[in-house]
Parts: sequence; structure tokens; C-alpha cells
Amino acid sequence: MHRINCVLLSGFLLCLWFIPLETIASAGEKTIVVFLPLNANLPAYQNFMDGFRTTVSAGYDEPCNIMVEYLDLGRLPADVYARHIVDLYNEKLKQTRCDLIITLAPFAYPILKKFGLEALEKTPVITIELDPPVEPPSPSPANNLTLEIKLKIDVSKTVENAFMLFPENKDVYIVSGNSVTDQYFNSLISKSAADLKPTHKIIVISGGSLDSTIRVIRTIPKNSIVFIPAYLSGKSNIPFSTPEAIGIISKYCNAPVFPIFDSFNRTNGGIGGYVFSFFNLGKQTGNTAVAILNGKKPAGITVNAADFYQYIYDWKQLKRWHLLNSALIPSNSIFINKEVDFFSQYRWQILIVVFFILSQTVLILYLYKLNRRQKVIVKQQSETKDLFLKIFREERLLRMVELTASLSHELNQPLTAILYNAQAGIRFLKSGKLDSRQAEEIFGNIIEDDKRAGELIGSVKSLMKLENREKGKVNVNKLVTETVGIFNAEAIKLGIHIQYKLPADPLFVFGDKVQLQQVLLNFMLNAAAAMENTDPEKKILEIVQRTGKGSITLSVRDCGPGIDDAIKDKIFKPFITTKKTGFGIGLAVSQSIIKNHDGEIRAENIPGGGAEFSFKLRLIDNGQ
Amino acid sequence: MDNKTDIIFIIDDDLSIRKSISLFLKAADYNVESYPGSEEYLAKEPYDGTGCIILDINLEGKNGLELQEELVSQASHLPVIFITGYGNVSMSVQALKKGAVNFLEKPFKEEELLQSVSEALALSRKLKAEKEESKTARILIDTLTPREKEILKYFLSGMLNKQIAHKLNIAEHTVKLHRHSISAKLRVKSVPEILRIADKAGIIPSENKH
Repeated sequence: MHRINCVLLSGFLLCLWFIPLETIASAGEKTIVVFLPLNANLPAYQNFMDGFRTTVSAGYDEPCNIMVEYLDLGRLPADVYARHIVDLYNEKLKQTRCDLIITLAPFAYPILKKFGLEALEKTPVITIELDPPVEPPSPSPANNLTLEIKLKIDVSKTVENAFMLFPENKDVYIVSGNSVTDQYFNSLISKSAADLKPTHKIIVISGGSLDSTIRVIRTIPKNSIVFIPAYLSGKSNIPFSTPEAIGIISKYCNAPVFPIFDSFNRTNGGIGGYVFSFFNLGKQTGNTAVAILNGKKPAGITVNAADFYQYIYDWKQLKRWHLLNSALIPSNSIFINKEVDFFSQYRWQILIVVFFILSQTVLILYLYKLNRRQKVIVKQQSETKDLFLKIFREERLLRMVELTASLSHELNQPLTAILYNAQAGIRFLKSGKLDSRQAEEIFGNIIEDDKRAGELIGSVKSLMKLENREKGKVNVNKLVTETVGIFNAEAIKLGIHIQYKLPADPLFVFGDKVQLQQVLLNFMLNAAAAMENTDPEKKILEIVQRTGKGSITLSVRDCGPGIDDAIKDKIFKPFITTKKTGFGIGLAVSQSIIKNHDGEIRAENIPGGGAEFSFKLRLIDNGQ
Repeated sequence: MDNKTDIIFIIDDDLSIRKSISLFLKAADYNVESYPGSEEYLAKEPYDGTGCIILDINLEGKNGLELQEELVSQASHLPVIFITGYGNVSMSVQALKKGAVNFLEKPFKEEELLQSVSEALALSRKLKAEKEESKTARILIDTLTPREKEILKYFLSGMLNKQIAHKLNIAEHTVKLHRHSISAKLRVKSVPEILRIADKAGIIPSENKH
């Protein structure tokens, strides 16, 4: 199993390996060889190659290899060296396919030509050389395969721009390296500066070691203008790079430092200005290369040299010289080293982050507050509940006390009666007058009184048993019909007509159905008792459902004499009754039940006769 | 025993209480009659003999205290013993002020009841005797002529014959004759006896104006 996996994996990897090989071997694949005369570290070359690669990779659809060869002629200018490397390239190019050759100034093409690079004769060539050349004329292109791009380095506009930016500054210092090329550019600047400002002093600092140069640089007055055109080699032909020199020199220089090439962007220190752009040159060359690769004849191509110049400024330097907002800086300039104003660049992101953090903070604070408030509320709620329970318990206790007092009074009746019956019995017995009839009467009385006492106690028990029963959804219609069902036999016996209407959609309350039935039944029994002496036709008991705002009132109306004013206020107290039977405990129990249901219980006289007993409870949704 | 001539009336709306107490008192050799309410009691034939009323305070209709007031206004010689299940101090004070013999809270002890009953009966007899004496005295006084009654009133106020004669503008001798007549009619000999009978009959002395 493991082995099979290995095989599969190897197969898969092999496939991956072959696919790119296939692609590389496609028909359109081309190779460009670029010959750069000096050493590889030159920033100018880097800019050139950046621009070149940009356009070639964007413009040419097929794969294209770019081989770069650095001739390093600056270090070793001797012919022997040149001959050797050309031999080496000849050998190299025999092994390699070559579709296009590009040679860059200064003197890459003349050297390669002079020492006989064979490829130049059979391959399309783009040769880029300074005009006028740095050194005496080189052999002109030998065949129509060669396209010559002539670079006329015109520094006049560059120098003029520097004078414009610093009109007050008088002396012109030109700092440069030692090489022929360095001197070539020196002379260009000197000539331009002298032409533009004949009265200005022009001082050239070149040929010294870097240390000695720096010593001189320190003494340059502030109101001067310093140009560093090229610094390709220091004393004893040590290769150097212009941007590197600009970086070091500007550090010790009090006056503004101007470059003439875009390569100054590789370091800090030069102000910039109207400079020759190797990047643009690279781009143009790239476009030309693409055209040639696509089959165009090199001879027929023209290149616009004016496009090589560009306004490039170092943002930090502009800031240093207070030129940031100067009208002299063209708006289409390229700004390098731009100090990123973090806020303005990422304004929206920052605003969003700040807003997010703020909203989070607000949310957290809000949640925190909410949490605390909730805790307080929960605490208050539990306290309120405790208090409520306490009050409820105390109220219940009070009612119990009241009830007990009433009960004890009520119990006194049968107890007294029992006592006196027994005393009578003893007396009759002692006096020898106790006959069986009397004895029977006495015992009968005692039994009845005892029963009565027992019933009393039993009825009070029902009051005590009220709390903590399971409650649920109660259908009011069913409550009415079932209670009427229970009472019906009694009603028929007493000749009472029961009237009630039920709503089509039943209403619901939350409660203990049995207890609520008890209340309703108690109301009905009271109503029946109240109508004992009413005309038989008028013995009507009516059950009415009335709905209010979220509540229902269920009432029982009778046609009796109404509630006696004497007991109206204390009708819900225990042992208050106008009936010949019972102990007056029914309404007290009813009140306890309704209170336990958070409801209201009422007893009223109906204007025009009769009484109405009602209770009001909160309605609940059917779905609840 | 003379118990036989007394009647104890029990008025209580509670049947068991009525039954048990009457049984007990019957066992103690009393004559007992019981009524469920004031109205029923008042509706019966008036009773002139001695006895007492055992009266429940909490009665439907006219309650115990109201009945007592009515009896007092009729100058009843039947003292009242109150019994109650819901007694309170103010009730008992009111009842006792109006002359109730006792105020018993249920369940009261048999000794208490019997004691109260015998006190009440003794009081009843005394009241009855006084009532009878006063009745006899009034009958005797009624035999007097208006003139004699007038002269008797002056005697009661402590006036002498001479003063009476002067007052009535008659001879002193005539006054003496009237006094003899009064003595004879009241079947007594001495002046203090005359005065006692007049007092019992409720004769009010005339104002002694000099």
C-alpha cells in the first residue's frame, strides 16, 4: 500500500516536472542578451533593466529570456581584457540561442565590435550610445540588423531648473568621479552653467579620494549649487556609483545637490529635477526589442529621445529646502522618498479602524453597563420577590390569625353546648331523674355539636391548603360549563334558572382550574342562597364574561335582595354570613384563591336589585 | 324549693346553646323557656312572676343590648345575664351599667352560670317584692280624696298642721281631721308609716314654701 502511494506520488511529481519543460520549449520562446559595459552595481543599469523588463514582459506574449552580461570595462579598460571577454562571449553565444543583442553606453558596442563579437553580424542589435561619443568615433553599425539609439545628453534644462529653484545661489560646484565618462558629463554641466549664468563661479571637484572630496565639500558655502553628474570611479579607478556619491556628499554639503540622472533615486540626498531617466530609456528599448522580436526590421525603427527626460524629485529634499509647495515643481513630477503621511494615505482605513474600535468600545461599555444594570435588576427583582413573598406570607399569617380568632369564637358555640349537655346529664344522673329519653336527647345534642365543631375545623383546613398548587392554562368557557354542570342538580332542586353566554372563541387564563371552579361554585351557591325567598319566576342566576384590556371579569349575578349594608365591608372576612347554613368561610377562601392568582375579587349590589360577585384575571394567549 | 315558681328565659340564636343550657338548667331544677331572638321573646304573653333572662348579645334583629334597654325602660323585674361568644370590654361595661347581673363569655363555667342565675333570681324576687309593695301603696293612696292627697303631699314636705292650714286657708282642726282620715284609709297609725307608704307609692312632696 505504502509503495503504491510512493509510485503515484513520483508519477505526479514527474508530470509537474515535464509540463514547464514543454512550455519552455515552445516555438515563440526568445532570448535577449544585454551587454552592459560597466559593473553590475550601477544604479543606472538597474533603472534601465527595470524599465526594459517592464515593457518586454508586458509587450511580448511568448516566454522571453533576458541574459545580462556586465563587461566591467571601467575597472579594466585594457584591450587585452576586452579581447579576452569578447572571446568568452563568442564561446558562450555558440552554446546559447540569441535572438536580440542590446548594448548600452558607454562604449559597449564599440568594444564588442572592435574585438569581434560574432553574434553582432548575424543577430539583430540595438545599440545605445552617447552622442557625441565619450571617446573618438567608433565603427558605425555594419549591417541593417543594427538599430542605433543615440543619447544626446542635454543638461542645459537640468542646470536651468536648478538655477530656477535656487535663484539666490551663486557659485556652481561640480563634483564628479575620475573616469572618462565622469569627465564627459562634467564638461556638459560646466558648459551649460557657464552659458546660463556667465557671472557665476564654476568650481569642479574631481579626481580626489572620497575623503579629500568630503573635506572640500564641507567648505562649500550654503548659497551655492552643487551638481553631481556622474561618479563612476574614484581615485585609482576604484569603481563607484553616482547615487552612492550623491548620498555621501549631500550628507556633508550645506548647499543643494543636483543629480542629472534618475539613478539618484537609489539613495537619499539629491534634490532631483529635470533628469535623464534610465528607466524610461529601458522602457523605450524594451518596446523596440519587442517590435524586433515580433519580426520588425531594426533599420526601420525610430526612437524618440525626448521621452527619456523626466521631472523627478526627492520629496524629503524638497521639504528640506522648503520647495514642497513651490509653483516651480511641475505637478506631473515623480516624487521619490515621499514621506508617507500615514493618516492621509490610509485615511479611510484609519477612520474605519478608529470607528470600529470606537464602536467596539462603545458596545463593550454599553454591554458592561447593561450587564451591571441587569445584575442590579436581577438583584432588585429577587429582593422584590423576597419582599413580596414575605408580605404574602405575613398577610397569610395575619389572615390565619384572624381566621384562628374567628374559629376559636365559632368553636366556642359547640364547645359550650357540649359542656352544658354533659353537665345536664350529670345533674340528671345525680338526682336520679335521668330517663332514657333525656339521655338520648343529651347524647344526640353532644354528637351534633361535635360534628359541627369538626366541620368548622375542616372548613378552615381548606383555607390553609391554598398555596403552591400547579397552575396551567384554563379555558374560561370550560370553566363555566363544567362548574354549571356541577351546580346544575342543585339549581334544579332549588328552582334556579342559570343563564350564560359563551364567546365563540374561548378565552384563557393562567391558573388552578379546580380552585377557580371552587370560587365560581361558591359564587353560585351564594347566589342560590340569596334567592331563597325570591319569586320562583325571578330565580335567575346569570354568569357573565366581560373582557377588558388584557383581562377577563367573570361574574355571577343574582336577583336576590342584594348584600346587606351591615356586612358589605367585611363580606370577604371569614365567618361572616347571612345564611342559615355554613360558616361564612366560602368568600374568604375565594378571596384567597383569587389573590393567589393575582386577580381581583369584588362584591357589589346591582342597581335595581340583586348582587354581583366577580373576579378579574389576566388573560393569556391561546398559544402561550 | 321555690325554684319552681321562677322561670329562666334563654334568648340565643344558636340552637345548640339554647338546647344545652335549657337542659342543664332543667337538670338544676329550674323552669326554662327559650327563644331564638328578641322579637320572639317580646311577642310572648307578658310574664309577671320572678325569673331572669340569659341573653346572647349577638342576635339577629334586635340585639341583646337593645333588648336590655327596652326591658329597663319597662321596669322589668327580670334581671339579665349576658352570654356571648364575641365579648369585648366596652360591651360588658355598657351591659353592666344598665344593670346586668353578669357578662359571661362562652364557654362559661357551670358554677358561674348557676351563681349568676341564683343572684339574678334573688334580685328578681326583691324587685318583684318592691314592685308589689309599691303597687299596694298606690292602691291605698288611690283611696284618698284629692284634698287628702294634697294635704299628704304637704306632710311629706315636712309642713306642720298649722302651716298647712294657713297655706290652704282652712282651720287647723280641719287639717287634723283629714290626717285622721288618711291614717284610717292607709291603715296605719303613725305619721312615719304614712310617709313610708307615700314614698313607696311614688308620691312627690309639694314644695315647702314659707
